[in-house]
Amino acid sequence: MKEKTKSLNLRSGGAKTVKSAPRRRQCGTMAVHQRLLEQYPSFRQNLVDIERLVARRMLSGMAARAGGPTTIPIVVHVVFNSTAEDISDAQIKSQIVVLNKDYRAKNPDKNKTPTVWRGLVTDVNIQFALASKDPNGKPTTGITRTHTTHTSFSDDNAVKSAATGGADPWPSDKFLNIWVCTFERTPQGQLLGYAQFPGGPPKTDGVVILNTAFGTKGTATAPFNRGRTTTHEIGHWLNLHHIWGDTAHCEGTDFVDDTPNQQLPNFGKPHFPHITCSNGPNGDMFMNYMDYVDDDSMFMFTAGQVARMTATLDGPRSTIGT
Amino acid sequence: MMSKKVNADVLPQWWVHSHEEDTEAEMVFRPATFNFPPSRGRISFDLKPDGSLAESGIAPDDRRLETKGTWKLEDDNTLAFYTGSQSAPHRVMRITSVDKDRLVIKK
Repeated sequence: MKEKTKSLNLRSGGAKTVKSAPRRRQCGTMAVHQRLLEQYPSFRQNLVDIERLVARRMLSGMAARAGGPTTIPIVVHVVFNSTAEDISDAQIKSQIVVLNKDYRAKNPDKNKTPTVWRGLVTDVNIQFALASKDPNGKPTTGITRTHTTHTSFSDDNAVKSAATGGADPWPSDKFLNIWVCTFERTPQGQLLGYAQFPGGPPKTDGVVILNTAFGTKGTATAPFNRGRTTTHEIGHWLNLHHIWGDTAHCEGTDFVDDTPNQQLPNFGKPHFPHITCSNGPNGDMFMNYMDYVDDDSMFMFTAGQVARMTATLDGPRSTIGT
Repeated sequence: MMSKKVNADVLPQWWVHSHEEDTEAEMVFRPATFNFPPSRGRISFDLKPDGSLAESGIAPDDRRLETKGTWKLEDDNTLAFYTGSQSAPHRVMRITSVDKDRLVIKK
């Protein structure tokens, strides 16, 4: 939902919004994000430019990339210490199957979308394939395997470089790089994945996924064994924000008009409706891929989210895919 | 009417969001030693005895965001978090109950 507004009618095209006073002071999350952006001035400017482009596209209703669907080549970098972490080709391919259902709105569980939002479920018109040619034009499986002495990685991008125990990316203007590894365990738990938004440094562009949350087979473990962590992270890679707006109050935004205003992330398997930020009667759209619920409880992108992703594909990620 | 002051002695701990235990009106936090199940993310705050604070949040790209500050328990059982030298807290939470194993705050 757009910043400092609350939705009274959440259907696409019919949103009516009102200004609302802050209920709480802003938490530190976005402030820290701003500081991170300030460390990388070009990243910050790129994000500003991207937001302008997205806004222009949404106003003009410009057509998506001609034809379609767009096929994005993926390279999966498996970075392993133990043999169990060296996940199978079958597990990797099961993840590609999930992506090709979720990004084409062909996932059978979309039928569990509450009736009021079924009209918003939208095909992103993107499909994914393991790369068939490497950066030198030679045949490839689209999978690299790297043994590392590291037993786990944090979220500091070390897994994205051979010099720091990981695997170097393939050119990120041509390939979507996905690193699969084990994350460190901390008191807050173990990360399932992290992403990089468009406009960031090319050498770290892509997404990183925990090996037990990747695909639907092998080491994939419930409740994160339906491949939705990768669906979520690629959403960020295509410029989507968390549906709760990355604050702990009702003033955050996901820069999308057809998603309800929402206070906090939802977890587990929520029951409909879950009302926050005066967003009744339908409440949070917790079944959206950009919330934090279990894999079996998320199953939709909205038209507004697809517009952002399409604009991103036509703009900052225009060199990738065919 | 003033509410009964909570036991401040048990507050200085590293508290992690146990969102599985939340209700519609309250958020539940447990000490970092608690056996949490896997989750996409958990916020936490480490309340040090000297009044310093280390917060961990969820970044827009799903990484962890670590921030430093200070904390203070107000007379009305409000837990206030401050950043740097700012006089106004950036986060305020009303404590419903607390013991050494469980902190409950109002949403």
